[in-house]
Amino acid sequence: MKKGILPTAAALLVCAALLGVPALWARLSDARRLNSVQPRPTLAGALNEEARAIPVLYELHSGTSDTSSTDREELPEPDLADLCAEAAEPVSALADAGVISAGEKARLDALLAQAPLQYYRQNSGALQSLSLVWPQQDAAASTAAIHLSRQTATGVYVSFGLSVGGDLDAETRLRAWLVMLGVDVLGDWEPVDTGSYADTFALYSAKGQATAYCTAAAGWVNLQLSKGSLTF
Amino acid sequence: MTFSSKLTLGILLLLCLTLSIGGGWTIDQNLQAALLSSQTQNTAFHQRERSALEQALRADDARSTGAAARSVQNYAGELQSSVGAQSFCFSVMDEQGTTLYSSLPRAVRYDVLRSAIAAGSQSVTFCYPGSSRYMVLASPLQGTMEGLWLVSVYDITALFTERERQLRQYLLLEVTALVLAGTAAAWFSHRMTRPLRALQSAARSMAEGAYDRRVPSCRQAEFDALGQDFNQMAAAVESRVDALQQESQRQTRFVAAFTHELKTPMTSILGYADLLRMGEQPPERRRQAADYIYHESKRLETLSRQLLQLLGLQQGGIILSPVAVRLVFADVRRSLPQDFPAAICTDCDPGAVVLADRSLLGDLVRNLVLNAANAGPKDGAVHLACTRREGGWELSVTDTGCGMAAEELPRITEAFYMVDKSRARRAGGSGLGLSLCAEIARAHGTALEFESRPGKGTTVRLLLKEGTE
Amino acid sequence: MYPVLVVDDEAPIADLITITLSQIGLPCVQAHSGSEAADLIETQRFDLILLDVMLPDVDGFELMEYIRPTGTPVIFLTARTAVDDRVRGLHLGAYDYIVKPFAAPELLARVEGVLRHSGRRDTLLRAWDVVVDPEARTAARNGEPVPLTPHEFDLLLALLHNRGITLYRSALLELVWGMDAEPSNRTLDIHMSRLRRKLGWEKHIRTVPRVGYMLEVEKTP
Repeated sequence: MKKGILPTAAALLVCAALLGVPALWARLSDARRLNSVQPRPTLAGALNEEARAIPVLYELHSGTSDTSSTDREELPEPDLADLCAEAAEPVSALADAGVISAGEKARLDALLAQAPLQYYRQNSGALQSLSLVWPQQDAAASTAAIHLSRQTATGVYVSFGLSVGGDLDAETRLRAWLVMLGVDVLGDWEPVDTGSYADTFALYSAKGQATAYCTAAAGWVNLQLSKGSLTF
Repeated sequence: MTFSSKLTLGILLLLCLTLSIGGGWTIDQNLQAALLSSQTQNTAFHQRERSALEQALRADDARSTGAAARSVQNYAGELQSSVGAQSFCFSVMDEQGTTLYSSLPRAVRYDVLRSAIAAGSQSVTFCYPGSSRYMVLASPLQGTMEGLWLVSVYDITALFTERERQLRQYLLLEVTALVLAGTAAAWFSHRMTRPLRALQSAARSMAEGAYDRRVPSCRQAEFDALGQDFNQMAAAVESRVDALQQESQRQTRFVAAFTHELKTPMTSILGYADLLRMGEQPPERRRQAADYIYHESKRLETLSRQLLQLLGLQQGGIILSPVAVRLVFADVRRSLPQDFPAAICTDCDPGAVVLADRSLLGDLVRNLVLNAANAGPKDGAVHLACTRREGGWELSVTDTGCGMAAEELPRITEAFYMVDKSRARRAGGSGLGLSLCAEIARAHGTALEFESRPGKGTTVRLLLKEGTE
Repeated sequence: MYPVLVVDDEAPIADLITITLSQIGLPCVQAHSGSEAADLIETQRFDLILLDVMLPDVDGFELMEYIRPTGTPVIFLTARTAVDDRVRGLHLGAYDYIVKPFAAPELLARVEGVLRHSGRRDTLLRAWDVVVDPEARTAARNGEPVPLTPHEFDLLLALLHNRGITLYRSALLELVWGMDAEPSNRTLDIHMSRLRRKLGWEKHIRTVPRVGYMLEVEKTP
């Protein structure tokens, strides 16, 4: 009986020591955890930090647009030639980026060389839009027009409407435009089903919480960057 | 250390190990999950704060550090008036580390904020002054001027307090479980090893001489088998011991009976001789004394002769030769005294010849006949018969006398065993007659077979091998 | 005054005891089996029971069960010498134990001892006007103590134990002086004549020429 006391006591001591294991575990993992830097969880549907660093996307989301006061602003008679020059700058940038072909650029430059028949300017706070309309050039086409929208804060154009077309398809144009905007670095642009709009190609980025699409119809090219996901 | 305490301690240790590690892991996982959900929630709070601050800065179009500081102060003031100072806790600092605004608790030191900014907008850092635990989130404020950082600090002490509570509760649970399990294991193992203890106690009792101890059967098959084997062993030992004891008792009885048989006649002989030697006894007494001395001496002589014959038979073999049974029967009839109380009826096949020692076989039959006559046959006759059996001839001596009880039969061939002592003594029996018969039968390679019923009579049979003349 | 019960299945031994005890005037009743003895014990009273241990039907030890309530003293007679048996007999209430074979003087001494101790009967031997106490080894004539030497007393006892029987000289010499001593016949004659003179038994002790001596039996009036 005496022989049994020592091992029994040892076993009970081990048991008692084991009882302290959870507390010890907690202390050790606390020390490890509190001294470490942990990744911040991503909030579903929120703008990604990477996208946030891109001004055009940040502005797209945080810019306040006062849609209620989007009255066409009749400015004191501007110089039409200045307007054309203002529109020519992004057009040539589009051509440099390969969104429109050289031929299309030439046709647009030809339009811009003429004085427009009509112009509209619109300022919604976050966005400034400019529309230039020319009379029809030949019997086949209707009126020729150029629509531009740029962010007030960044000055980046996020919407184009150009009465040219046919040289390039919608996807080529859209991808080239995203490169030009610098948002292609997000790398998660996914094609969106455009349903019945066969001439439209759309891409959506979850990080950027934005949809970009391009409609390339005969004689008309439309480029648009919008926040959120669009359904067609 | 007993098997049952080993088992109990083993179970306890294993259970304790499992519970402790399992409990530690579970509680840590709980904290981890709570921290994750708290991180998500606080990140959302932080983003909201950031957006609100950015809006405020934009609204004020704060392009300088001073303007930004004012704008943040205003915002904080509005916030405080609507939700109270306790519900928000942030600091805004510029790229050079100048604090534009701070509502942080004192315990959160400046370098914590710097390291949070250094960790960047994708990370979560912690700080733990004293017993408090804080989660620190830092993000750049965009939209107006570069280099402004918002640092939010969220108190997560409650999660750790909750974890401590869980630890305490778990410890209580674990101790309770261990006590219950230990008690159950001890009880169960004690119960399980009960057959072993029964076996041990039985073995000890047997060692102390209680050879009739057995172990009861039990439910566990292995222990039951062991117990059965033990019982078998015990039974074997007991029967061996019984046999030895019986043999020893037989020896004791033999010595006691022999002493008695020797001393009784000697007492008479000595006593009467002494009487005669002392003086002139009256003639009648003298005659009686001489008579007693003669008969008692005769008794001693018979005893010693039979004893020597018995010893001789036990030591050496005999030479068997073909003997006609009728001659043996004739010898017996001749050797009987004139006043023999019973008639002898023989029924013998004249051609019966057996392998035997003629004089020994004669002694055997004669002794059986004397016994039969002593039994007091009702028809006043002893029947001798010899009939053919497979492998030889069967001699039988039958009487219709008093017979013997079944329990007497095993002992009647024992030396000096007398079923009815006074009757046997009157007939001059020494108590060695049947022992001698059995020994003679054994020397002939056969055995006596007794069949008796009290009050009906006795038959003794002897099977002898056939001999050819 | 009750008789002595002798229980022994051996008739010669029972007779021997009866003869020996009758010499000192003790009447005996014989029983040859346990059951016979049990019957006698139930119906009669005895001063003493001499009991053989090995009996055919009822064991001598078992018979003690019947005897003990009567309070009769018992002497066991046995051929067994085992100490256990002796102790058992004494435990059961026997007064004494005699191992077979036994000599007559030993039997007489034990019987006298037991009778005296149990107080059942006085063991004094009487002859004419002489009273002898064998236990105290004293003799008195008409109440007057008679001084006797040990040899003279032993001689007197031998004569009293064998009254009416002519005792041989050799037997008397052996009884009184022992086997190994070699006293002459003359010594015996001298002792005998002194004994006669001291007790005044000149006529009662008869000399049988060349044979021995005999103490006459008292004529009962």
